[in-house]
Amino acid sequence: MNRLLWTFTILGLILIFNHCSSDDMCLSYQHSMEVRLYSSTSKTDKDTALIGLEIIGVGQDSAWTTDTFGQNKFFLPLNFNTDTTSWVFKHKTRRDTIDVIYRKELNFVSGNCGFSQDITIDTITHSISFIDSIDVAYPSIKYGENVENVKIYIY
Amino acid sequence: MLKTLRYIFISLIIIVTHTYATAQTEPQKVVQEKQHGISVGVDLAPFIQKAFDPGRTGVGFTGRLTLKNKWFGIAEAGFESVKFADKRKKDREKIIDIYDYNSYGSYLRVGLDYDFFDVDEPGNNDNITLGMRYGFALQDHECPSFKIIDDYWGHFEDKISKNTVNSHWVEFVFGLRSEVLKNFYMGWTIRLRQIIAVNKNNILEPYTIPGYGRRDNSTNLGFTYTLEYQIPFGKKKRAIN
Repeated sequence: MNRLLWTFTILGLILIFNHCSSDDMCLSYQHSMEVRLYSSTSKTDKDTALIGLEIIGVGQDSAWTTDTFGQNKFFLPLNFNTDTTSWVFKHKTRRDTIDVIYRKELNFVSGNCGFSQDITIDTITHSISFIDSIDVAYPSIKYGENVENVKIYIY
Repeated sequence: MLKTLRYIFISLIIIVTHTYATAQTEPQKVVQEKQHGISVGVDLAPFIQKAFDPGRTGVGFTGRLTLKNKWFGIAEAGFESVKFADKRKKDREKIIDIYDYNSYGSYLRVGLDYDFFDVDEPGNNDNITLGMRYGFALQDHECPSFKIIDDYWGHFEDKISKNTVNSHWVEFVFGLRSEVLKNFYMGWTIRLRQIIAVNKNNILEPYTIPGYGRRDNSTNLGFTYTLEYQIPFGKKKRAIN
């Protein structure tokens, strides 16, 4: 048996193994709730969109997002430092405010990615200018999950 | 990764089966009993590891005692510190320090090796071994600062103070060991490690466990590369079959 050959073969394999084991893919903004817009006039859930819809965090100078081409799904981050996050939905001259009340729990993701906050939505209140109702479909917001959390029904 | 693992284990199986088959087909011969002794050595793997993961600094020592026949009692101990002071990731235009981590800890692994390499050449003390280890590590670790990024509402910042973690695992070991100079041995082992328990008192998980490796994996592949000096005692000649 050529011990030297085996030694270098195995060590080489181990070094390759170590070199190839890639780090985790770290995700950002995993504390965002997934919101989808639906038409309140339909008997079944039917997507809708509001071109020009602007979503602004209360107390913020700039909009989080402005819908320029009719999308019906948004990811809205929740404030880490409070238990309530308020958003203004502005469409042309109409505006509604939603208040999201939630609980947070610190979560360790991995050695590479650090920490995240798991969030559980308790309730959402809103004004009724063009928002008919809001349904919390899936209250849990966790790292790595991609689930529709909130349904907003539009007049 | 799975392909690499599969290749390594297939290679090991081939070595073992080839050795066994050779032993079955060759005529009976006198097998030399190898030099018994007690060995102490140093594990060079942590120094190699540091080249790939500069945040980890460690040292390991090994002790080996010849037991009855082809069995060795093994004890391995070491220390490892881990420090991330510069772990950063890009946040749009900025570089932000999102996660600092420090750990200091020691480990002890104990177990047995069985040498299944029979030699007929006098003075050949080489070994091919299979073995098992039980591993235990005790470490203090902390997260002096971490951030969760949110440019819109503001980052979340906090820290987790120092606390103690103890960990337990088992290892399956395959190794080669060769006498390169009189009583001086060089050897390597490849190890499959399986975590049993990690006892901690908050959410912070160890980045690495001393003597085990990355905590993110419940199964780890590890290796050692040892230089040993053997203090010999007793030697017998024996015949098998």
